[in-house]
Amino acid sequence: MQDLALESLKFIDLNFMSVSFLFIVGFIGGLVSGFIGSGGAFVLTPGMMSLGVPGTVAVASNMCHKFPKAMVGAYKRFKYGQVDLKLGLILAVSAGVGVQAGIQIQHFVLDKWGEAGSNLYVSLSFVAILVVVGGYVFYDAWKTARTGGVEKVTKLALKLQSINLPPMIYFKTANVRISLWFTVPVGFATGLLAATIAVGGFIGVPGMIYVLGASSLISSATELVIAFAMGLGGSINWALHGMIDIRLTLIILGGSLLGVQLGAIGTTYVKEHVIKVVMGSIMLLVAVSRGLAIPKYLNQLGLISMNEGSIGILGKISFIVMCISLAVGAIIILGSMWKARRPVPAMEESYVKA
Amino acid sequence: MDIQDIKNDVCGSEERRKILVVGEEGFLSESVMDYAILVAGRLGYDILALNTVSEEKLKSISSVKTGSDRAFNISELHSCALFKAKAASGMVKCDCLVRAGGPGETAKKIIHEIKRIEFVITGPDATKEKIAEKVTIPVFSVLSNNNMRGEKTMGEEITKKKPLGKTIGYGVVTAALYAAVFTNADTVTSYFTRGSWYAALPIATVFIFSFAHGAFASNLWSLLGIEAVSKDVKVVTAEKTVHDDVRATKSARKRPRARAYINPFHRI
Repeated sequence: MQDLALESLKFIDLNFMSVSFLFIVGFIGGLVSGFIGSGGAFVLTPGMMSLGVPGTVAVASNMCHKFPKAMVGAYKRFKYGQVDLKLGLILAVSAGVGVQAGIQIQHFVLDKWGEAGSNLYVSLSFVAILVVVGGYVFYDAWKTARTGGVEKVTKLALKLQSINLPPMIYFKTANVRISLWFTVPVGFATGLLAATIAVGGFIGVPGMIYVLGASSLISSATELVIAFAMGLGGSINWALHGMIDIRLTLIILGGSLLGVQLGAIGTTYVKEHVIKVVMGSIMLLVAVSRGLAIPKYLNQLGLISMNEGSIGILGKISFIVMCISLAVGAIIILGSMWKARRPVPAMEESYVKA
Repeated sequence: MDIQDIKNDVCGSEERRKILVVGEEGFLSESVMDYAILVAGRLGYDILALNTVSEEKLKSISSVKTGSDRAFNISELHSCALFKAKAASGMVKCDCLVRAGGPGETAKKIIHEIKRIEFVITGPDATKEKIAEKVTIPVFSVLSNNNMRGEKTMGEEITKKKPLGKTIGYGVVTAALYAAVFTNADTVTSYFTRGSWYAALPIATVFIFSFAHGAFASNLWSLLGIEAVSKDVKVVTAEKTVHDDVRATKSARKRPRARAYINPFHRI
């Protein structure tokens, strides 16, 4: 396995196009994850693979750029007082367990139904989770926007917070007092999803918002702590196998560290529901993208029959939709930052007058 | 200091006028403190700081057993100690109280128990509304736009220097690091992919790069004028309080404004 990696690493020719592609996707991915706590990985891994990088090396190099990016983003947002470190670390522990469980499930599916079955399982999980959670996040964002941008804590979170099941933990920054036992499923699901579709934040952030009752600002910032912890663990594991192509990692990191800081700054410009808008839109578009990939795996499993040409086209559309989802996220973030630039001086002026 | 001591204190000498400064959940922003000290200094008033916290939190910050009615001093509470220190430097007498319960009820009790409290100063609007509902003396709220360490004045904003030197410095370091890796790409990849203890190499490398490049990126955005709008930690929780209590706030807002500023039972 190690030799295979070495072999493939030597043969990846980095030309201007591939470097620019990785840098730009890294930047946009960083921007999105600085803003919503996760994202970018779902485009980078298939993107790198389309450049000819073997799947495992793509995953490993991607993960190795993810944790320093998350660290820089978390540090930046910690300075803005948005990170609940205690919540992040507690969730990271259960997320670690979730990752292991996710890997076991993957192995089980791989053994039972082969690679196509495993891919189908991943795509179906993507579509099912992203449509349900993404749809709800989007609906909630729309509802919040209509009621003047005031976020409400969900009834579920209030109910769970009122249950006095020791040990009760008070999370100061999130201003939430909840039993440890209710944080465990959120962390576990985050890890499980991270091991399955590489983006744990799609469940971690909504989990923190709707189950634990933290605000979307705090949740998205705290997710970066979880991403850092999971990414560091995963990267060490990949590094031990010698799978990390440091060149790819550093190019992506070059873009993403610029992006993640801009995204973190962006959170201070916008109303909280914009985070949900961005997250919901990305999740729904990614769901569409993965949905388009499903026929390919069904075909491989012999459940449907399609010709190679149309499967190829579907695959391409799927990848394009994925890139669009990231671009849409970036446009919403930059757009709302641009819009929010103007009222600020006016507000400061009124302070001066007062 | 116990509430009784404060009473004795004021009975013993000439009763001085006081400003009641109310913090919610043990938090009192520095801008509120500074403003209160400034006003107290100008008017020659004393300050009585009241921190209201929930029952559970009160137990966790103090080992002293307490009933909800008994107030006591805990100078170890950060904001209280800070307030006292600030007040001392401003030559203003300041006493601290911590009480369990909501700001409205506790402020009302204190105003009844301690004489010559002229008006109330507090932080977020939500707390102000809660107090204004219960008391008949003026309640003022001071909006904070400070970061955690406090002290972000307008002057600083304006005269803030653009970090040109830092950006260039970190930029050069980052460029050198990238150049070092990519000019020796073959050697680097062959060592970095050996596994076992060599696994530390890629991990250490990304850490070094993220420090250098992260600092460069941060300074670059500042240089380009893209900076965070507000760094106030407590704005977040304060907003949350408003959200939690959105109905109460709304109904409170419907009340005539003048009510908070009329004081028919004022004891002079």
